Formats: sequence, structure tokens, C-alpha cells
Amino acid sequence: MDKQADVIGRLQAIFREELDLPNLQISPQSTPDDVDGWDSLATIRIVAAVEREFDREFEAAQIESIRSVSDLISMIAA
Amino acid sequence: MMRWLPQPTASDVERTRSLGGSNVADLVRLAQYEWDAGGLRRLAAGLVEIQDSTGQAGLQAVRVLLLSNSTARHLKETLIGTGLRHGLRVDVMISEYEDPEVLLERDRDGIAAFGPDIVVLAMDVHAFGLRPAPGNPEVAAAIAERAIDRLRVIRESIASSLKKPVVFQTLTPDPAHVRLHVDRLIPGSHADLVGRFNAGLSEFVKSSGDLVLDVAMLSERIGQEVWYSARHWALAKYPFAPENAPLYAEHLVRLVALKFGKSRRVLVLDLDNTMWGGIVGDDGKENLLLGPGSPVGEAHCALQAMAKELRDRGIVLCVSSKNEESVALDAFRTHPEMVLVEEDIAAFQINWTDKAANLQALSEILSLGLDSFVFLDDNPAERAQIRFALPQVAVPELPKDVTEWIPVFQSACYFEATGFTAEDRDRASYYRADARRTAQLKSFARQEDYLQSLDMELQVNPFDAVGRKRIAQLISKSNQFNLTTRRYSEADVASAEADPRRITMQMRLTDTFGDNGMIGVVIADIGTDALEIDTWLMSCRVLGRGVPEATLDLLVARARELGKGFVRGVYIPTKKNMMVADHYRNLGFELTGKRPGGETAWELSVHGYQDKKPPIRIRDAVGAH
Repeated sequence: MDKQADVIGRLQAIFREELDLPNLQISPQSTPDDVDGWDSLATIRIVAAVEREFDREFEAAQIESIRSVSDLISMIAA
Repeated sequence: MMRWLPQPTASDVERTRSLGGSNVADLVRLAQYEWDAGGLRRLAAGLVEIQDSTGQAGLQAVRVLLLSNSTARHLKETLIGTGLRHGLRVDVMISEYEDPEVLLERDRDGIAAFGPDIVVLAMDVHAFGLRPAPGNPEVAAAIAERAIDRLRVIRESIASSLKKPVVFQTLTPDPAHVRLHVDRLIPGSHADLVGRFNAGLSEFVKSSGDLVLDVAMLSERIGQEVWYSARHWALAKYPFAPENAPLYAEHLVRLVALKFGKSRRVLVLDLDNTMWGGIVGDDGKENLLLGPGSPVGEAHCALQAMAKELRDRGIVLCVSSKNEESVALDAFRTHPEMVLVEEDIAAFQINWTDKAANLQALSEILSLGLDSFVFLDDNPAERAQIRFALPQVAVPELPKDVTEWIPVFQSACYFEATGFTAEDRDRASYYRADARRTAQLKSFARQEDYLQSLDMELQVNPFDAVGRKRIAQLISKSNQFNLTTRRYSEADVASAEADPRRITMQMRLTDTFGDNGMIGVVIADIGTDALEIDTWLMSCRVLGRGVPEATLDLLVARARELGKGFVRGVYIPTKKNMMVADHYRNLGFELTGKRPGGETAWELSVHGYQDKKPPIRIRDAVGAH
């Protein structure tokens, strides 16, 4: 499986779960403006779930600068 | 984290993802597991769907106003989901980032429209600063005093618009401050200030009759480094790490539930491999593991000591065991290492029937609802059976290793209370005497002979300062024999006491087996032509003894003294007070009105009323009121 697609798939599952949107489709270009309920507190929840899923821990500065799904992808890849 | 709660299986998790078509009972059963914030959020969402369609069978609705100086929005669904675990439908209004004293003035109308039943003052250490003044005891005292004054002002502001109880939170130290071993020796360190604040808060709440959520205790139990997350404070002003929200909610909701008469008061213990190590019927008394010499034997002793400590707090201890009764009782009575003695146990159920039936029998013997029971058993199959058959009973999960049980059990804080009175201290012995009365009743052919043999005396006094706490406790806890289920705080009780337009009665019953403690409360308004009964409740421990008849004799006498022609009362039905639906009819009152919702109004003419004179001696001090 393409690594990028795998990450997107796992992120999509997290977004669906944390935002209670079972049919949500996300892409790297998705931003809080395009996704219902993606506010600053939802970001905290999403990051917590990403940390559990990918067994990582991110810094506050990184979390604070998340503006899109692709920011999350780069953080996971870093 | 909450190790006393059972873990959900994969299929339980799956069920929370598709709750369509669930009913309230399904949700309540699911809520018994340990869920993270996500799971609680899904349960909360499931409840919202039911609200829209089939109503709220069996849940007590509670409105909580939570005032936080930092972020709290994320607690909403967690609280709603946790409420299900305790049989509550919690509705939450949250205010964030604003000083409560400002918010309470600014949003008076919004708060009134929401109509909270309870207010939670969720203020953490950041709300008070508490900047250290090392080596400066006067300044330290002044800083703590100022912080407590602030609480006093907020409490008065709440009281001015709402007559509702408030939950205050103790503080856990801000890890940003210097904290060293030497701080124990220095006045004015941050830890010293937090200690002074918490002590002042406790004193304040003792006098206001409110509730304390001991956040300091919670954070100590799990460790302050785990409680707090500096990263989350920096990112989003979370007062504690978000993964602790379910733990916080569990403790807060339990405190809220107390105010609605939901409390745990009975601990039922298994014998084999719980009270002692080994199986008495197979291994014999002499081979049981109990007492010094083995880690397992010591752990069982420690468990008994814990039970004894709970008994001293007024928790009623019972035994439920699958055993040959004579063999098990012999071990209980004569094993030299037993910490508990027979007198510590209110009732034994030692037989081969299933434990759900045993618990139901105990509930009847003690006249205490199963929702006040905690069931401690080493056997996972027994635990699962009780959870399935009697979901209202709390059944702690236990680690396999008996030496690890106590911390898990203690951290559940099952037996939370609103205070501690002499009544609480003696309660366990009342219940034991009750169980013996039940045995005596069986030996009498006729009810009257039995009642005569009890040689009962009813002491009736107006409300007073000494009884105040216990009166408020009965008013907040009595569900079954309670005609109106109106809940009053200690402050309300004090004002009823002082009100010349009201008659108040607190009743104690003694008999040949001992003192039953305070068992009844009546509040009646003196109307133009009648005594209007506002509150009439009685402890179910003394059902069937003629106390209601004696109480009515007193009420009629009082009405006559005051020149009133009638005694009137209403019955307001709840889920739990069916037993008194016909109370007034049985006492000879006429039905005068029905309201939608099943409320009924009753009236008794005092002319020609014949005293019922049950076999109870009455010592009445209310007449002197």
C-alpha cells in the first residue's frame, strides 16, 4: 500500500471518529474551514488520537500551527 | 485509570457506534464500562436521539451549571455520558474563561432560563494565582484569606438568584511554582498557600452546607504529574490533562447524584477467597489463608479491616456466600484471625441459591434499594451475573491478585456522602437490630403481638440545630416513603425551623432492640383553615410499625390546638415512591383533586377524627414549639 494513502486512510478514520462524521472524506488539502466541527478543541482531540494511532508525541508549537490535513501528514512523516 | 470499572469488549465498542434503536436501559448498561471521552461522547449522542423520540424512562433529569475560569467545553459530553452510569440525564450549561462573579451578574437571565439544579464552581489554581510569599506567614494568611473571600462573594451571588447547592473544588498545586522538600518548613510557599486555601475552603463549605469535589485528592490518587498537562494548558487552557476528563466526571457526577438521593450504603461481601483465602467447605477452617504468615492471608485481613472501617462510617455490611451455612458461620465466628465479628454484619445469606436472589433478599430485609448496594466477590462469573441481572448494583472489577484489591476498591470512592453525623456512625448497628427484628417478627403469629413486644417509643421534636444535618440528609435521600420528594438544603431546614408559620417534626423511634435513630420528618404550613403538609417522609427501616398513624394523631392534635378544621396533603408521584400512592387514602383522607402527572390532593376533617393509637408511646416536644 502506498504509504501516503495509508496515512490518509488512518487520518480519515480518526477525523470521522472524533468529529462524529461517519461519511467524512478528507484530502491533504482539507482545512478547518471545509470540515464541520473542526475547531481548535477538535484539533486537540484529533491530535490526541493521532498520537495514540501513530505512537508519537507532538510539541505544542507544531499542534498550534496545524492549518490543514497536510500539516498533520508532514508532522507524522517528520 | 478507573480500574474498578469493567473494560468494554470490542463488541461493546461496536455497539456504541451504532446506538440507533437503543433504549435508555441499553445505554445505562453500556455506560457501566470504563469509557474514554470518545466512548462517553457516543453514549451522550445516543441519549440525545432517544430524547427526540421515546422520552426518558427511568432517568433522573439533572441540570448542571458549570462555571470554569479556563476551558471546560470538552467536559459537556463526558458529563452526559457519565450521568448515564449513575441513572441521570444530565443537562449541562458551561461558562468558560470568565470570572464566575462577573458571569453570574452578566448572564442572570440565561442562567435563570436554564434553571440549574446544582452549580459547579470548577475553578482551578490558575483562578487564584496564589503567588508564593516565602518566609512570610502574615502575607500567606492574607493571600489565602483573599481567595476564600472571593468564594464567599461568588457563593452570595449564586444565593441571591438561585437556592441551589454548589460544588466547590479544592486546588491541586500549579507545577509552575517552586516546590521543594524544604517547603514543608517554610510558610508562604506555593504548596503552603494551596494547603491554606483548601483548609479555608473546607471550613467555608462546612458552614454553607454545600459539597466539595476534592480535586486535590483525585490528583494525588493518580499523581499530580499525570493529572496536569502543561502542554494542554499552554495549547488550550485545559485545567487538567484531557484524558482525565472521564475520571473527573465520574467523581463529579457521583457528587451530583448524592443531591438526588442516590448513594451507596451497603457492602455485600463474599466469603471464600474474598473474606479469607481458600474454600472453607473443601479446605477446612484450619487451612484457610487468613492473618500473618502469608501475603494472601494478610491481604484478606486487610480487606476485613477496610470493611470494618467502612462500617464505622455507617456502611451496612452483609455476607452473601455459596456455602454450607453451619460450616461457613463456624469459620466466621471462631477463626482466630477474623477481624470482622458477627455483630459487624447486618445480615448473612449463606446458601446455594444464586447471588442475585440473595441480594434481593438482603434488599428486602434491610429495606434498602439495590441501587445502594456494592457487591464484592472474587469470582468473575458471579460479578458478571450480578451486573447482568441487577445493573443497579455496583460491582467493582478486582485484579486477580488479592494483594492489589484494596487500592482499586478504595479509588472507586463508592460510599461518597454529603457529611458525617452521629446517625451515620450508628447506622450499621441499627440495621443489624432491624434484621433481628425481622427474625422476631417471624416468631409472632400476629402483627399486633409483635408490635406490642417491641415496646416502642416515638420521640417527636421540632427541628433544631442538633438535628439539622440529619434532617437535611433524610430530605435529600428518602425516595420511597416520601409523599412529595421535595429536596431541601441544610439552610432551608434552618429557615423552616425558625418560621412561625410552619410546624416541623423530627422523629426518633426506640424499641426493645435499640435506637432506630431519626426515622421521620414532617414539615407542615399553618394555613387559614388547615395544616398543609409540605413534606412527610419516613425511613423504610420502620415500615409497618404504626409510625404514620402515630404521626397523624399528632398532626390532628396540633390542628385542633391551632383551631384548624382540616389536615391536607398532596402526593407527588416519582419513580420510587409508589409505596405511598395510597398513604392518605389508607389513613382516612378524602381525595379532593387530581392533576395531570398523577399528583393527588387529600383532605382530612379533624372533627370526629378518632385517634388511631398504634402501640407506640409518644414523647412529644413539638407542642412546646
